[in-house]
Amino acid sequence: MQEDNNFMSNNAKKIAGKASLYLIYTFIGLIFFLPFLWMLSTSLKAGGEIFVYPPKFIPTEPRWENYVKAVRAIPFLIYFRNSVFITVMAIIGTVLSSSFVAYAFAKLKWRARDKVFFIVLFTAMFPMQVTMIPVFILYKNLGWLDSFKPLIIPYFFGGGAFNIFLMRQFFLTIPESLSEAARMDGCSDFGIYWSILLPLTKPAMITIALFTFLLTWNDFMGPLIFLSTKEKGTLALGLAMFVGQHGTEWHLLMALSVLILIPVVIIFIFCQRYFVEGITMTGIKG
Amino acid sequence: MRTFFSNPFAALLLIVGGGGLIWLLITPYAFRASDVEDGRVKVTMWYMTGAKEEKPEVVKAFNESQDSILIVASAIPWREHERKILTTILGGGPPDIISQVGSVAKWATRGALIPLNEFIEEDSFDISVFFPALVQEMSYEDKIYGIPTATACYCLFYNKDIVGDTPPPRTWNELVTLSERFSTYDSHGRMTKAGFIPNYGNFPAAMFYSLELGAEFLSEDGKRVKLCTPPVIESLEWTVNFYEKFGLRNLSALVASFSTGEQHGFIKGDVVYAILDNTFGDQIRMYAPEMNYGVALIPTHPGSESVTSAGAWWFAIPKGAKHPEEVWEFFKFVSSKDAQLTLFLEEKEEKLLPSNRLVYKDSTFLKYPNIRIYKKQMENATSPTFTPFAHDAFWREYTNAVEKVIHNIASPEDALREAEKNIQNELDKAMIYDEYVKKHIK
Amino acid sequence: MTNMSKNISNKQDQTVLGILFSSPWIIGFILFFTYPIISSLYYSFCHFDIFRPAQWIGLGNYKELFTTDPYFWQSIWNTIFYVVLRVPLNIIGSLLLAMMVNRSLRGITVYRTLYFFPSLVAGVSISVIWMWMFNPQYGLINSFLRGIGTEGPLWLGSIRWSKPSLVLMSLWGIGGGRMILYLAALQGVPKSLYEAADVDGATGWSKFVHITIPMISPVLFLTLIFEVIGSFQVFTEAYVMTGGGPLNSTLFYNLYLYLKAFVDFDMGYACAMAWILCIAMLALTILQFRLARKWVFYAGR
Repeated sequence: MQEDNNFMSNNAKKIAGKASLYLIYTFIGLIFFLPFLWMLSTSLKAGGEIFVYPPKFIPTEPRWENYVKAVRAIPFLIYFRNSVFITVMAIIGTVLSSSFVAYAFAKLKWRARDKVFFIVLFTAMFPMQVTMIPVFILYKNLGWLDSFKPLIIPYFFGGGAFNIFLMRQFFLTIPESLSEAARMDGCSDFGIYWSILLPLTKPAMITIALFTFLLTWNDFMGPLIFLSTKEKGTLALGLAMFVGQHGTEWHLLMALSVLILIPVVIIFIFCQRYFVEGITMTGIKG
Repeated sequence: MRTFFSNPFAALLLIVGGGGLIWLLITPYAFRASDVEDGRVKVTMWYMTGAKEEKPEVVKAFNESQDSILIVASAIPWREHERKILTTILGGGPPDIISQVGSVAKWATRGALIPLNEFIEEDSFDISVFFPALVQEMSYEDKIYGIPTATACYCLFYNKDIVGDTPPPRTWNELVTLSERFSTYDSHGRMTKAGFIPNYGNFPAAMFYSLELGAEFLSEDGKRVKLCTPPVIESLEWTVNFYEKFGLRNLSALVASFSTGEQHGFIKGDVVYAILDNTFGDQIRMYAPEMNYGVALIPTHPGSESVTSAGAWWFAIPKGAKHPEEVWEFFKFVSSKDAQLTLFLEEKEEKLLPSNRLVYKDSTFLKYPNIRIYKKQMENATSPTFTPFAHDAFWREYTNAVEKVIHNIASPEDALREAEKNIQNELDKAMIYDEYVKKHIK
Repeated sequence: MTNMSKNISNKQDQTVLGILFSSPWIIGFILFFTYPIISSLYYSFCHFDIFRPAQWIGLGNYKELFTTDPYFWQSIWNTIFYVVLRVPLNIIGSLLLAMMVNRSLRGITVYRTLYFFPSLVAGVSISVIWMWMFNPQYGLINSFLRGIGTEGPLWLGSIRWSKPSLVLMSLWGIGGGRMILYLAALQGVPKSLYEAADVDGATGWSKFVHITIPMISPVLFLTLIFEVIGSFQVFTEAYVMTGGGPLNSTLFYNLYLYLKAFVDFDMGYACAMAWILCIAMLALTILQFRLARKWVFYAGR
């Protein structure tokens, strides 16, 4: 009898414990979600409902036409196309070149290897301002200003120290025996890289692709500095169009923000699984 | 080959990526379609957008008035306009016309604009048809770099719903008295409605105050900044006293809660008197159409004339533009009295004022509501560019000084002296550099 | 037997291949890094506005920055204040969140996604959303505070609270990539270590300090470095939300640099500023590496 009582109260404690845990998690989740909720609700409000006290989360009548207005106010399709182009190219460039370069540091043995790798990491520690202006001038001299080239081409040259580092970690977890066996069969190093290692690194590639996607899709500074013609804008830049001389059109801006967010959310939910897996498998703990 | 396709996924990436790169590199990504359309020469223009993106009426009118030139206008966001223009002039392929506000000096010193003097002389164009303040903004070293097409002047707006028949204040002291009368507070003693907030808006009231006392900000030879002078000091002292009288916390809290559009202080009815530019009527029409408001001259000192600030909205031709002659035709059109008058009257909104003085003599024009006030105000208009070489620095430092003084961080004299020193520094630097460049470009 | 002669033994140095494979990076390094760094060093000794030729003025820019520039020191202070406040809060926040979602509760992936959400939003949108959140009269934060009976400050409109507001805003992103990194690292800690500690009767806190932290210290260290560097580059929030105000309380170093370069067109000056930042960052990073020897633990190295 005694034991039954204990068992019951233990169970109850467990359930109570779990429930309160979920409560806390949900509460925190709500805090994170709240601004996002406001973003959604504002996108459907009429202008006058945004700045009211107490704050209104549910518009009196949802103004779906805000979305239409937002899409019409900027060359939405053109910007969408530009954003997609830049992002896709950046992803391809990063994935291919970071893995290609990482091979040199993970699988090849050469004397200067570790020193050069250190320099790779070293460059990541430089703030971007120190190269910003001369790079701008360089692009001017190359005639790359007001084009997508500055936003894409650099990704093909290694894709950034962080990505090289990640890929290298991943390559290191792949046993040497695989490449050895391939070498014995007459496979060149490029072949090893291409046919054997690369297919095995899908989670890492997806992770890198995801990070790059987030970076470029929402990037505001790059297009801001390098693009000037209106037709060459990106979606993130388009948000700036709603901040005018006499004021900001909050509801339209939020509508556009939601639209820009949708592809990101979809892709993220889709790839979420690979994401955690990818980073775990790089054995990044060490 | 076989190796390549042994990894189909990566192969695909490489092909797509390679293709994209090649395309990117060989096409100069030119949306530069042909320069001729329907037999008309195509001229490109960039204008700044506010919250609305509508093509300037004047462009439509010009295109309709003749059939040899077609202007294609596109908007650029307000915040980024300077930087975008910088990028495009540097990057090559700028539009044929750019539109800006303020002094041309910033661009002219850098050789970014094409001077218009040749065109002016060829056509015997009379530049004095524009207000002197505006012409001043278009000039740099005896050359004209832009055409002022419109202007806006600052006046005193007041909320008639609140003040009723009370006549608007003529002097700064009257303004203080009336502010006292019309400010309201809640049960906790917090201010809910301010009569006037000197530092709210684009121009600190102190600026007008000091101009009316005859303040000059730059020496005759253009080399010395004069900020720490009695009129300016007095204007800041008046401002500080105002803030002390009504409470810094009160006024700051109100300002911090204001935003734009319906959230503008005056439109909400939380500020009774405000010094705003004349196009603000458009804002009122959009966000508070029922408001009864009045427009009056900016308050001044007993015995002085009211002074306003009027900057030019201008068009200019950036270096590298392809059709300067066609642009000049457009400029002539845009500055003509008829065009300006017609466009002004056609617009249903409160718009920028015409830059051509002849318009102000027209009787139809004078019937427009509030025009007489604007006309009177424009008689004593100064350009807001006091130090062409260090324009941004001037306004940055001045605004800083005013804020410091309001927050009691520094006395008016100290704040102004510091600001003067900083502006002078920038000015000196700019002049040294300018001299150097002149010596080396022959 | 396949032609072994073609395939070299492991002992041979693969330098040629090494350089070949890392060539994209090397080319990029020269073009987009070394050359710009050297140019920017050169420009930092000049008056220069891109439109016109550069005028050599020696240490003029540096002297001006350190002695007569009215905003240099303030922007440094603003930035340091921000970094010191933001880095620990963000790192600890991400770690806490990671530990929280590192359980096999049902539906935990939902929470992970939820916490990650804010990182998906564009910078400009985030700024605008939080401008509303911080609005003293209508914003969510002050409305909530008013609801529980207190009066909130002016947040972005207050000289004292403007920087803390931005730090608060940065906390919205603690559930992002960094949390995932920590999560992965936490999952990589062998359970056997914890079990052994349990046998010895260790407390939760003790386990945390003596097992968890050392085991994930490499990741912590990595993210610390990048978080510091990233925080020093704070720009978008200040640019969009405050413009550096009120009264230059949010005039961060990077913002000031941008203004000098793209508004005042004083590029040489901006380059000097960039170099000062660069040297400071390098020094700081080296310092962190030195300190790392004390607390970063590499298992099996």
